[in-house]
Amino acid sequence: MLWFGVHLPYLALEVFERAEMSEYSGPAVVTDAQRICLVNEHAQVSGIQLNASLSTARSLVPNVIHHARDRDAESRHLQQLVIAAYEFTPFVSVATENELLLEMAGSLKLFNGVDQAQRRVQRRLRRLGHRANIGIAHTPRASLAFAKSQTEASWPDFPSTEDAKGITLGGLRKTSLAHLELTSRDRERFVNMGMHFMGDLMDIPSHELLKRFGPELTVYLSQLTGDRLDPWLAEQPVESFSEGVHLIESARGKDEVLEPMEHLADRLSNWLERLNLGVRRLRWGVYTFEGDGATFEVGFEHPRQDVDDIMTITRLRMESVDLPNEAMTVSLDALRTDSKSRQWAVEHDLFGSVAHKTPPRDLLDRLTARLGAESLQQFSILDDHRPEFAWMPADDDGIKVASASVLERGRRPLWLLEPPKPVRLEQLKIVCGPERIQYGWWDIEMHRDYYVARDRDEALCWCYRDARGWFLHGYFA
Amino acid sequence: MNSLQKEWLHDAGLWRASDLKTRTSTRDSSAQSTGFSQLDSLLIDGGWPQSGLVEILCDRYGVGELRLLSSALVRSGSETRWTVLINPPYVPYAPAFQALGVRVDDLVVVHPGSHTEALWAFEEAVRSGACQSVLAWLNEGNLKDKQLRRIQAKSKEREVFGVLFRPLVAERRPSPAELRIKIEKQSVERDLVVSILKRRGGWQVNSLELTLPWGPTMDETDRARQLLIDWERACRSMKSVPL
Repeated sequence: MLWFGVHLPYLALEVFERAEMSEYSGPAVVTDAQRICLVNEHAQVSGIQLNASLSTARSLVPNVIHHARDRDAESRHLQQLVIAAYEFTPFVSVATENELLLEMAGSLKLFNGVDQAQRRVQRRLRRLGHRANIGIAHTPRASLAFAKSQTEASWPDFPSTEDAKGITLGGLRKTSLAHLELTSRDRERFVNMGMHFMGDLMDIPSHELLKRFGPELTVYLSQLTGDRLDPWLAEQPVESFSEGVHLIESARGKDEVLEPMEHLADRLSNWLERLNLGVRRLRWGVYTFEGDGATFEVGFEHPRQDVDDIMTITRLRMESVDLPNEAMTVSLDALRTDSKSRQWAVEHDLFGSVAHKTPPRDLLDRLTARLGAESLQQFSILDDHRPEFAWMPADDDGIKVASASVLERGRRPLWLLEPPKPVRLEQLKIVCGPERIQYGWWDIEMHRDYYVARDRDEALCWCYRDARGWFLHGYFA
Repeated sequence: MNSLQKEWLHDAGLWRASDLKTRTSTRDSSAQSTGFSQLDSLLIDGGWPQSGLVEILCDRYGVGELRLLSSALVRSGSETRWTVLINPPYVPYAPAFQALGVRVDDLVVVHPGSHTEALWAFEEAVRSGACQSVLAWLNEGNLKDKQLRRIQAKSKEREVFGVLFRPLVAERRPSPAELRIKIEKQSVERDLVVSILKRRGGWQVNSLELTLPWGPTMDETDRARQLLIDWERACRSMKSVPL
């Protein structure tokens, strides 16, 4: 086992930065119950202390940006990070309100060793707008302690169990007690005894500690060192995707809305990747400050996972949608997802030798997005003697009714008039026929004699006579 | 030859007369026969152009314009590609297309809301590289020379067989199309009479008579007419019978 402990010291502030899509370049603080619970570097330089009141902070820096802590947003963000972290390992766990645990032993080969893997995780989090410290150890709790204390050790690319244990214990000895999860009372007692590092505790026989500090501490310490098992539950991925971004400054016009939209699409893509799904239908919502706005749906002919694919079609769709001029909230829901692997397997044959059964459907996506689904039509052939029922528009979902074989049924016109047009026999010159079609007594009965005729322009047309007279039904174009 | 000239010569919009000679000598290799030998012999490729825009001029639809193009519509290599119809004047009857040899699954009909959207759809279909042929019925009044040139260039570049149906008034307007065919008339005796208004490597050809597939034979016609006459006579006699 090799654990990556991820500590996100600025998460409480970053949730606001992410929502506003900007990083603060000035002093900013987060308050919890009227007390400052988090300061950024700028605020720290200005001398704002933790646990100070907001008015104290204001007196130091009049224009300090402040937010009331939003724990819901934090846990939502943590869930998003869990989804993003599935990229690296199937075992991801939320340790505390700003810490994650990743079990990476199984993924090291994939990422070319510990160093590379650590860098990849860090870069991914950075891209998502989070500053993270990563600690590596053979026990989960030690990795979290290292993350907090920012202890860095030099790891071999593929450490054995013994290596991992050795490096972890070596690191732990030098770890300050301030970074361990001790009760403040215990910590104070240790400090009073002149013990400042984990190494000092490790030198004391555990039964002595048990006698003086109780079982909780010894359990924790033995979990730190790996003498005692420390089971964690992996997070289970959420089943649906529905997210939004609230902007601090309204986005004017479609171009400005695109930025938060891309952000959401990126998150959707992460989620899809984790579940190995592709999206078939999604719904965008763009809302004004007052809460009214527009929603529009985007459909895909086959499951999509890639951000660029999603955004290309979305952009086309947007051209024909009226959006509010000033948007404050953008939301994205995945309405329908499909397993991507099946489609992928069809299109990406191992040897690349399979001929396309159907042409690429990207074109249809693009046309549908810009022109609307109702302007696009595909056909299926049904086995029915009645001309009107021998075909139908293909199913919207792309699941086509298997085309029935066309029976040998005489001449049929390429152009069909829907509905048939009444015509006088004098306008026509019959050239061929009749073909009697008498069918469907159980639903719509049809009793017609079809003829091929020439009209005044000598064009070949298809017409029939039934009880109501003569009708023109198509052209042999 | 300087580099600029070389660049021009590789431009899809330019061709040299000497290209025609090589084309003529290597004909039949990849040519797509029109299905009409008289027409094949007049066309430089020995059949439909492999790519680029073809114009069919006729004032009304249903006169045989699709049967004229049928061999181009069924053309298909190992991989199938879309056949896109933009703004067709009537409903394409799927069983008939199937009978013609067009895969119905590959048939897509698009009804854009406006001329601009129709042009966009045309260009998009051509650009996607997923189409074998694109057939469009555009609004002649809104069609600009620039737009025509653009779709011709795109079809040429992406090797798509593009067909534009235009009314006869367009005959007097210049066009960048590879091939312009005017449908003169359809008649009992001669089936379809067409004129080639423009072709590569040759002059205009007038009054070319073609026999379309699926045409009814004289025997059939006589039989049908006789049946109808008999039938009506029978009806009349039935009416005159006192109840």
